[in-house]
Amino acid sequence: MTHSLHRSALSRPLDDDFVVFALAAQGVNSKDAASKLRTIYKILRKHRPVNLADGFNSIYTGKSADEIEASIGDSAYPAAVYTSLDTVIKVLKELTGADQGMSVVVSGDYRKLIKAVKEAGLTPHTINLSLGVFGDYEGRTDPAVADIASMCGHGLVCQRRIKKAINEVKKGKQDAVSLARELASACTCGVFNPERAVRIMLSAAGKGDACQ
Amino acid sequence: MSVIIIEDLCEGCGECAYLCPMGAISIRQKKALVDLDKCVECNTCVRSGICKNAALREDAELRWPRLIRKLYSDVLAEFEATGVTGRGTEEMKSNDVTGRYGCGEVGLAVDVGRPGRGAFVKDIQKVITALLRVGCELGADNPLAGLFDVSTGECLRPETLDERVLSAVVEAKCPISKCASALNALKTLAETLDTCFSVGVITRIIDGEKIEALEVIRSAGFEPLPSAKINVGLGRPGEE
Repeated sequence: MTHSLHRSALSRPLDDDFVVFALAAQGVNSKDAASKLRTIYKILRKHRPVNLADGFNSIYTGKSADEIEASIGDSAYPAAVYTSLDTVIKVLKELTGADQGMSVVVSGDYRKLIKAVKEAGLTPHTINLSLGVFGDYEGRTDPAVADIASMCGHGLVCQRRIKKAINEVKKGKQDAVSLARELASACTCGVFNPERAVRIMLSAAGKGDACQ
Repeated sequence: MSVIIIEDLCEGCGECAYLCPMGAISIRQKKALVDLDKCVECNTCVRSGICKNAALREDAELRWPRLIRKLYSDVLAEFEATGVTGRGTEEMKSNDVTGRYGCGEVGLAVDVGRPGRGAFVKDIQKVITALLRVGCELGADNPLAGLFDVSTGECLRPETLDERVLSAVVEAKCPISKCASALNALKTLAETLDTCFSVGVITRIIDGEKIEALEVIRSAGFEPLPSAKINVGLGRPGEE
């Protein structure tokens, strides 16, 4: 899966968008990994993420954080989305202290993240760089829509729905926070950043970008 | 069979149409209609529970070759071969444990059909063929290995070639020396393909400082976007 790789920054930078997730390598260190992944999930949760998930359900897909925690198995991907780099550093430090032996991956602006990983006392191991989209696609003509849609790497947050949401914000029909939660509900991996979506929608609707 | 609309229950509100990543649902004569050619069986519409009348349903078991749509489009569908849900593998996410990508190598993750276009299986084959031609190796544990011969790119299930999926990740690996050729082959292919694809390049970070393939990528005329995934090196092998 490359679900958190291609997060676009066409309408605003990635300053408020960081994903941290963990996994066991299946068949290598996955035996009895559930308890380790649950420990990691608890750490991710403690730092007040704006989205939280286990790779199959998020807090916006109808499950509570407690229910997700209870369902974590050996193949779970505990994932959390944060809006501050400082928080990511704190999370990484705590994960290092917990020493569960699971792989941990951070997504976001790599120029900032490499420094952050090192600040947390870790040595970055491998990177997956996004070269963006080759060929033509609809979102290229609408940066706000493309930025929001790219936050679900599986493409499950429909561009048409995003356009409608921005229009509803513009007309004052619905508040951006509720709409962002609705959009987040399509992203089963839980890496959609609803706070960033609010900022992008408000900005695209010409209503500033302060989070409601 | 496929996603269906129970006409007697549908009020034609159109909310489900806004959820479809492929734009396969439209409203005709005040009833929702699923274009089965466009529908990729991702199940986003049904899973959402958006229809208050439960007019939207996943009907019966999908049959081959249409089943391939679901396997590559429904995030929660599991591939028996890998035990992994989704379209790809763990690729670099567990590289600190598996060592799948070593120093001197690059991985290419080509997300065919993403974002928002979808792709036919025959499009995926073109990407695979282009990468094999410049000397890349395909991962044998990728879900696509069940559909294609990973050494020739031949489609093992040709009846699927005209099936459409939301996206599929072609994962390949090559020495850094072949990285520029691979990227240029993808660039050339994109000009003729009737869909798009997102490209990721996986490379090691040497001594926590140097992104090993960065200069090669730049020299080939490509500039990485800010967004990336970094394995922070906390994993270690177990006793399996």
